[in-house]
Amino acid sequence: MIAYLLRRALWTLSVLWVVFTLSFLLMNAVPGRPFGGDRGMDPEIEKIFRARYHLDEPIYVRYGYLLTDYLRGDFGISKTLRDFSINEIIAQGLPVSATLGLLALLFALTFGIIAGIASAVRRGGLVDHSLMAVATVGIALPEFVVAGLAIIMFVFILPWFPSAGWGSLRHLVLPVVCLGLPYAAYIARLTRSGMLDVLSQDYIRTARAKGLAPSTILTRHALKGSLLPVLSYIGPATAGILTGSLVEEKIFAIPGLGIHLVESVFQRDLTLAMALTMLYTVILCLMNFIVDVLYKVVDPRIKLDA
Amino acid sequence: MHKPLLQVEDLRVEFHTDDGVVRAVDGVSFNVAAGETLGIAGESGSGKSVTNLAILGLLPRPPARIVGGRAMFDGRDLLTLSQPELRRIRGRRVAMIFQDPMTSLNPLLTVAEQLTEMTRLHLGHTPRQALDHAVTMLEKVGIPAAGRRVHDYPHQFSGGMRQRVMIAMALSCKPDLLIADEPTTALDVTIQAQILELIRDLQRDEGTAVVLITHDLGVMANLCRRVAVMYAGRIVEESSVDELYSRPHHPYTLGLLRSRPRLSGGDGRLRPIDGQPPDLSRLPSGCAFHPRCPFVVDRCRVERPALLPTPFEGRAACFVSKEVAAAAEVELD
Amino acid sequence: MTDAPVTAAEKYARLLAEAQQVRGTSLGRDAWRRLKRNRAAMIALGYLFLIGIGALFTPLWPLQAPRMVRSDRAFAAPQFQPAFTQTTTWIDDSGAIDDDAVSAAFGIRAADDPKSGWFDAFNRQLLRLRGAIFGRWEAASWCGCDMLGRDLLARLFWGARISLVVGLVAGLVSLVIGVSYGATSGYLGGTVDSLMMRFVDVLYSIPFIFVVILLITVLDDPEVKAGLSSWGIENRITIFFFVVGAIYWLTMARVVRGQVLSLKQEQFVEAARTIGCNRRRIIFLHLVPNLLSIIIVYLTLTIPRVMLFEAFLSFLGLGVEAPDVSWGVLANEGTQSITAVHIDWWLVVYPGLALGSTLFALNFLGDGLRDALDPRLKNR
Repeated sequence: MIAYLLRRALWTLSVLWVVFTLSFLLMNAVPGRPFGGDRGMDPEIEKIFRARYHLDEPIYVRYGYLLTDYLRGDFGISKTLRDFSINEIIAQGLPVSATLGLLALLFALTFGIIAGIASAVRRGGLVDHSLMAVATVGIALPEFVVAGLAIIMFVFILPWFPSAGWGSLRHLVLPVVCLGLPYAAYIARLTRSGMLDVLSQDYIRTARAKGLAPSTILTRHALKGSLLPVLSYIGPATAGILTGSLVEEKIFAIPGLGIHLVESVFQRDLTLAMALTMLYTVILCLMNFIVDVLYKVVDPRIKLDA
Repeated sequence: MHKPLLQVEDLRVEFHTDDGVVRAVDGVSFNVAAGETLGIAGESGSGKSVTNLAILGLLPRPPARIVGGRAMFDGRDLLTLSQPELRRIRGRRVAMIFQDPMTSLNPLLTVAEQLTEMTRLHLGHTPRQALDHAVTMLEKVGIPAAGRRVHDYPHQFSGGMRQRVMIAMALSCKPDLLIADEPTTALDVTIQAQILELIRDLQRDEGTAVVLITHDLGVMANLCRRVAVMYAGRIVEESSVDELYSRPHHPYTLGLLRSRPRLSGGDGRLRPIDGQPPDLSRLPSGCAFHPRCPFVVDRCRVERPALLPTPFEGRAACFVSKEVAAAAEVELD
Repeated sequence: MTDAPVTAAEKYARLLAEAQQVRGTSLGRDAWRRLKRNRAAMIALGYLFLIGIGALFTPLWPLQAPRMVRSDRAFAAPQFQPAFTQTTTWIDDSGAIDDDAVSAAFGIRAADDPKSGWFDAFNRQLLRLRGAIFGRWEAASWCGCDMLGRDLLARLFWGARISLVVGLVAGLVSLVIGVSYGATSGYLGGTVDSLMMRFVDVLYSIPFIFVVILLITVLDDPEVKAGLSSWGIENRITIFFFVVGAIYWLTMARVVRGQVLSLKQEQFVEAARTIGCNRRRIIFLHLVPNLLSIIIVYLTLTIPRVMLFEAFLSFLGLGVEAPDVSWGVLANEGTQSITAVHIDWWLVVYPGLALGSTLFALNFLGDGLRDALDPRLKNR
């Protein structure tokens, strides 16, 4: 197990390294002035920049400096937000974004799994058809359209929730639901098909032949197996929720990291964009790592050294 | 003969598929006495598994539908019992083992979990008792180091060992009847013999009645006293093993015996039954076997023969059973 | 073995004749039969066909000009009375078309513009045809108008062209890369295969969306843009095709590789080899049809993902650039225009409906195709 963990950790680190190098090269692909051709850059900031990012050194030296900075957890300074270091920006935005993301993931998992099981058990029934229709809509509509419709419905027509902002529970409901809904829908589909798949297995027939009650068969024999696909989907779902949070933060004016990432792109604030890209990558890799390990724990058939 | 343990009468099962209604079981009747072993033989698709799954209410419905018949077990018709009532019989009174031990055990649960849940449910064991009982059962079916291995997962056992686990599980509540659906088909030949011996020994010790479903007549000869042969959803012949092997009254049985490889006797050639097994959704008229039958007479094409007693305590569904028996006697001796 | 061999031969001939009577249908026909029975998939197919025709011949329909700005009717609500008006400005009563007006209102380059290509010519022909058929009639603003008073219905049609092309082309790019990579990997097998798949694993772990955002940031730099322009890449869409193709081929590669790998070991390939089929026959008769089904299925499932990604980038302002429109851009404009003061629901609902229904149909068709081509996978 420890060997496996080490190997997984090594793999994760190498992925992070690849992304780092890729981003670094991209940033340096911009010719001319430091990280971008903004002619109007404040000379004072430019001076700080040159010193901070060792811009007068050759590229491989800069690479080394930046890598050590990142390894130390120092993400440097931003071109546009001059009063804050990137670390401070992250410290401010990350808790907000993390709350939003985790709640959305939690919502997607609970709602998706329950809906999936319900429609698998009542297969072909009204619940099944309507849930699957909702699921397909959730998959087919982009986040911002869902969010836009939700705002029209639940903010303006039915004044239940505030349209934007952050701070109270009521502020949370719409962004969390809008962010989690497509993933809830997909998880519902996964759970349903996983459940149907497991229910057609021979060992379910064995369990029935043993005289177990349907509820016991469902929870003891079928649930675990049917959730395996969901477990492996948590990785991609996290990736989706991370990107989706960019959209929701923009629409609902939530002061998270996503706003900064989008803004940094428009301002061509490359140091900030790269730092946030790396941060999102780290979060995603961490999630994938956890899921992988969990998967091995749940499914005994998978050999740890495979 | 004393009162039968299981009495199946005129069981009819249909499947509603894309290609129309398939009559998988068409009027099957048989009895199993307590402690007896009945063999049911036939090609794949002849309805032998469906018959037994139907009795325990294990057929997926839809597409399957039981359209008629009775299955009297202990004075009650299993086909009319409610699901909760049926669940008290399944596993407790009637247990089942399946063909493929690789897929019949839940890969995500340990053997202990799968063995104990049954005795805890049916016999009210405490977790401790159930575990002890599970270990005892595993020892009884010949699994070495049972106390340790009980905590393993199914994939850690070999095929033969898994089938032993299945048998241990099936017998752990001391059922009155064990239905073994091709229990050795998926196993190596040497393992097959061991498993059959195990079933026979356990049956002798526990006094369990067994319905053995197989397409392997050799397996059947080993284990059963009485045999029923099924073709296209119907029983075409039923008699004692000795009788059936020496003097079959149905041409299909004779065909099966002929197509068996033998070490000695005959000219050493295999003689397959001509033709294809019938398409159940488009059965031939009259006797379903007539297109493949070497003894066919005109009557076979229009009229379906009933299952009638033979002079030798068996039953056969054939208009020319006498001729068949005579021909068989000459050939098989 | 003293039996006359003739009887044995006769027997086998009879057996063979009997076996041939067993009903057999080709994979394609069988799949089509199953698909036809799947009503949802057939409706989806019909709908996509209509959308495709509608988008391809957009200039032919009596719609308003998509770039016609009219500040007097900014945020005008949908209007059906009268349904059609005789109000086009780019065509006169004699049916002659004003090239400059068309260029401004439709974005179709005039014939004397050096950049005018075959597609502009195609569009001009359609417009001319429309003038001949419908004269100066055009539809009223059935779907309302946007903040500049442009007709949403027309913009939806013109947006369909870009959205569909983006989905189709990027899907095809990913298909070409994915299929060739996966097939090579699966066919070669061994060390090469495991190395190639390791590479895919690494790429899988990279959150490409962020890298793409970073990439677009870089590519948006004026100097980089100038550099690209000298390569003939004028448009962000072109870059989008490559980028998306480069990301979305991963799943396709994995699926195709797995399929090739299992097909290689399939008994019927072995059987074909035994009866003396040559390699080309095996590949084209036995492997390609089996791959084709899975490729078609994954293509119909990749296109919606690509279209969603385009919408996402357009929402962030990184996708299709004005004055071009796509459904993503329209939906984004609609979402941006939501305020407490006036609820211009049509600006959100109609683009969302267009995008959603198309993706919905593609998903249904993909699922239906998968069920039809491989019934074992049903309900997965």
